[in-house]
Amino acid sequence: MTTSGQAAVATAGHGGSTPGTRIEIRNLTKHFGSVIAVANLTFDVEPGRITGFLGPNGAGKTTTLRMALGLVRPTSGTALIGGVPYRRIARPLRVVGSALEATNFHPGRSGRDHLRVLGDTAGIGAARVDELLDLVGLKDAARKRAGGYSMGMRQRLGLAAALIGDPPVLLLDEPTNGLDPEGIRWLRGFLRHLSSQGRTILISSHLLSEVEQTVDDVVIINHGRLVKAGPIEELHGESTCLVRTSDPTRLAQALSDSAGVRSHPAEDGALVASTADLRLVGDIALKTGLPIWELRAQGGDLEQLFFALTEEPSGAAQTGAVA
Amino acid sequence: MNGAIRSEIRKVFTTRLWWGMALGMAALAALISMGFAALVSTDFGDGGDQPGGNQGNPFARMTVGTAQLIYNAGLVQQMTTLFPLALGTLLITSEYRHKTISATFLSTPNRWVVMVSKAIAVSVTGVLYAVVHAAASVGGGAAILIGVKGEPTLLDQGEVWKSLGIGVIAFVVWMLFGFGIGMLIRNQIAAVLIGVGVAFVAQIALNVIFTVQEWYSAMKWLPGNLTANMLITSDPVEGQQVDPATQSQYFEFWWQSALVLLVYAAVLAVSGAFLTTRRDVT
Repeated sequence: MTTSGQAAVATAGHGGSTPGTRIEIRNLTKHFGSVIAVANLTFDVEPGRITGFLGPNGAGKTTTLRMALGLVRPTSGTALIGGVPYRRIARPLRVVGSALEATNFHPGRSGRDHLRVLGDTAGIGAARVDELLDLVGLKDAARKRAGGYSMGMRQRLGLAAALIGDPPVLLLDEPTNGLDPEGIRWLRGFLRHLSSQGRTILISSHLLSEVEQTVDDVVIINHGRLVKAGPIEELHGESTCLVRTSDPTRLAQALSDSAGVRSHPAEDGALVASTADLRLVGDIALKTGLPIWELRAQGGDLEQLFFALTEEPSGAAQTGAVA
Repeated sequence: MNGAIRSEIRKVFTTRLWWGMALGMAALAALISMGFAALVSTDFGDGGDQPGGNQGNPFARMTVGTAQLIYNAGLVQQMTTLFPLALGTLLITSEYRHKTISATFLSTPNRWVVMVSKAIAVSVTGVLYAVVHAAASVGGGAAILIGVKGEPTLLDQGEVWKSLGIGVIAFVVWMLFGFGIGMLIRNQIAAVLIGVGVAFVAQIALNVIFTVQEWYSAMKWLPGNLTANMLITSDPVEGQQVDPATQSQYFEFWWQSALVLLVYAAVLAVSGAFLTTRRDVT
């Protein structure tokens, strides 16, 4: 937690005994007519960690973020930031920074003026605005009209807007959208840096692969319901290795007999063994007199798991929740 | 609150819209004033042939009331009132069109504070527009009066300047009409079309109907007529034979018209603002 961040929390009138500002989502529900966008959602976002808020398009991520920010009125349930609803935070820009969509700029207004307009509401002047434009690498385009900005530049401007009040909490909706790999890498480093200062960071994405290397925790939702919440390591599951040999059935038997390693056949004659110990598999193959044509470790395939989790029909997966 | 107001005012003046529309309005205001000035001491303005009674000819000779008509010609003709109306609507609806309304409510979560700040910002813009409009109208009208007509400009008369001062109220009110319509409808194209359609087309249609039916006392409640009647404080047909029945289309005092207009603007703006404070921003 930075000094300014703590000051911000204190001025907002909800400085607790624990450092950092936690986001608490409790039984949040939103109906749009007969459509249930978010259903009884409960999770926490911890300070000092980057939390990925994941789910396919239309899962209810943006609606949840908008409820947390007081833009959308929940049908029931609460969203608290540092113990209070967003709308009751006295100086919100100094507590919560948010970037909802990369297109939220008037195309005829310059990036710098956009930040000045925001800054006015919190008594933030031109000096801080120019500092931020420099920080996100928009100095040269600052006085150009935002309508001419590339997607990457819009994301950077959105990030600058979120950071304008140096807030301890950041909520970013799809911040990697439209960024090139270089931009994603830049964003990752930047978020890491912000997180190391003790900030609470929540980033939403419909692509696990884009945030996989960035986040510490994940909250996965589908059809408005919680599917899984917890540290990303818990998602990886057990590691396996893939081995290719002349007689997969015999190797499977040998693995089971001599080391108790379970295995199952994979496509084109390969065998997937439930162990990360490549040496063990190699030794057993040698002892059994089988050639090894290929042997490599496989991490738990997160992407595969993500699809498996989010493709289940709504409701079926919610029991897997870990908080 | 001060920060929110400053923010809203900065929003108005950081895009090209405000000066683009001011330029268009100034050109139109000058042209209409020149046209009105050209009518002085002719009988083109004679209302004697109109359905209903004789309403007199305001341009028969140069009176203080005639000067007020000339220097507010765009507003009296109900043409330049459409500029503050459209600008007010565009300023508000562009927040929805470009989705900047989220950022606005995030930086100022109390939506009433936002609404009041916006109303103040559009009012400030209205004052500026009134000044631009007066300068263009006086410039255009006086040029014709001096250069072509050889008539006195009557710019030394207090009543003429009073009328230009009341123009400020007209612009603030029409800006607030736009603000209210924009908040109620939110869709930019629809809001502008409906606002201009009601203010322009419906106004003309109702005026024709009321005149044909001789419902003179109903006419004075139309926003366009209220605006004209508020601005023209001195009777331009002074001393002429006028059908007394037609007099009921005016309020007796300018401030009565102003008051009715302000009530209209307040009702529209407050209902728009009220809905906005309740709605989800998606």
